[in-house]
Amino acid sequence: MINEMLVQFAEWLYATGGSRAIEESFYLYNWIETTHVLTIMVCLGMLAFIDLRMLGYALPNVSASTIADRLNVPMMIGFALMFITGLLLFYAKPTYTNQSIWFRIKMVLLVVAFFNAIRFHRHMKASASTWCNEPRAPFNLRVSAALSLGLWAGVVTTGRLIAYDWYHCYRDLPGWLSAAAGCVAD
Amino acid sequence: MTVKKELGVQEKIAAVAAGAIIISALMYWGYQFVGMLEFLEMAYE
Amino acid sequence: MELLPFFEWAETTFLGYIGKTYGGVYATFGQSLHLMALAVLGGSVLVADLRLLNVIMKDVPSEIVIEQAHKWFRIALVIIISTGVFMAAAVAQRMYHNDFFWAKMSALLVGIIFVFAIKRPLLKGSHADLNPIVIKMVASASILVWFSVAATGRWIGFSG
Repeated sequence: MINEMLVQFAEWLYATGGSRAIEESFYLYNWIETTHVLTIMVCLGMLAFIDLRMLGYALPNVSASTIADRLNVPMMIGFALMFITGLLLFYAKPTYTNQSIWFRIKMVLLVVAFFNAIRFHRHMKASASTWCNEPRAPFNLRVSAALSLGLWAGVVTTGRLIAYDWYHCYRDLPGWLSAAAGCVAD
Repeated sequence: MTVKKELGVQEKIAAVAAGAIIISALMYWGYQFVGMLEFLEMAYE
Repeated sequence: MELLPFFEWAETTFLGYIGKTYGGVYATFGQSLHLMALAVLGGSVLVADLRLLNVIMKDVPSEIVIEQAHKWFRIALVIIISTGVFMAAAVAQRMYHNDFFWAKMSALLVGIIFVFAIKRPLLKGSHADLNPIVIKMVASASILVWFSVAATGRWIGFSG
């Protein structure tokens, strides 16, 4: 049921002028994708340093709350760009992307990363003043930081794999994979 | 901001190298973008 | 110096064979790992250079920021070059004939020489003794060169 609705929505998007304009353009799709990948350097770069600080592997002699506060703004600017370009990339190829199992896994990982970030923020706010000058954060924050690195590594990997159609609907897929990937009977 | 009047040798080399890189990068990307615009102009004629 | 024979040979190596034959390995251990290293590389470049440009972490001594950023820059560079060699080996002949590949290699070479021969020696000592305009020029050049390496790298995939 959900898969049918998603396919319909994707096909509706596909038929819009904007979607066709981006996908069929000579350069626009490529520049949107390039920007999406380059913002990895900005957003995930800042995030990597924040997480590495929590784990004690980077800038251990600088207050952790200083690191988190100062790198937060460039990270969010990078994230905004990543999000917007990501939306545009989906909009340009909605039917293909919707039925990509890698895209679906990527979205799940993003949601989990989002909740992990909220949890991290809450714990950070509550405890930072007690330990921010220690080289390593307390255990539960280190767990969040490690999880953050792992989840985003997963986001990057699955994002890269979207371009590969090894498990796409026109392949001979087992039932569970077919359903997970959003394949519908024609 | 007090600007030192005398630049050391290392600083001079760094400034020249950095300047060369900045100019080359701007020229390269400028050339790429102009090329793309020209291509688009041709394609949509 | 005639490089085509080297590129032709590269494709016949075991590394090239693995990349060509096992798309999954190529995509995960090649491309995705390359992108993860890119994140750390980009982060180290931006953390250091935005500090030098006085945009972020103004209350943290720049010497400390540069030192720590460089540590992770080196780690990321090793991984990114290794994965880059792995990826290029699989499609070496196509790379040889690709303009963006050569643009990227030129920018990469310039970037490496600039970082290790000019920027790092300059910033090893106290930054207070350095001319602020020179520092900002060095930081700007660094950002430009590394983002150019990344962008030309992505465009390899769009051409040829």
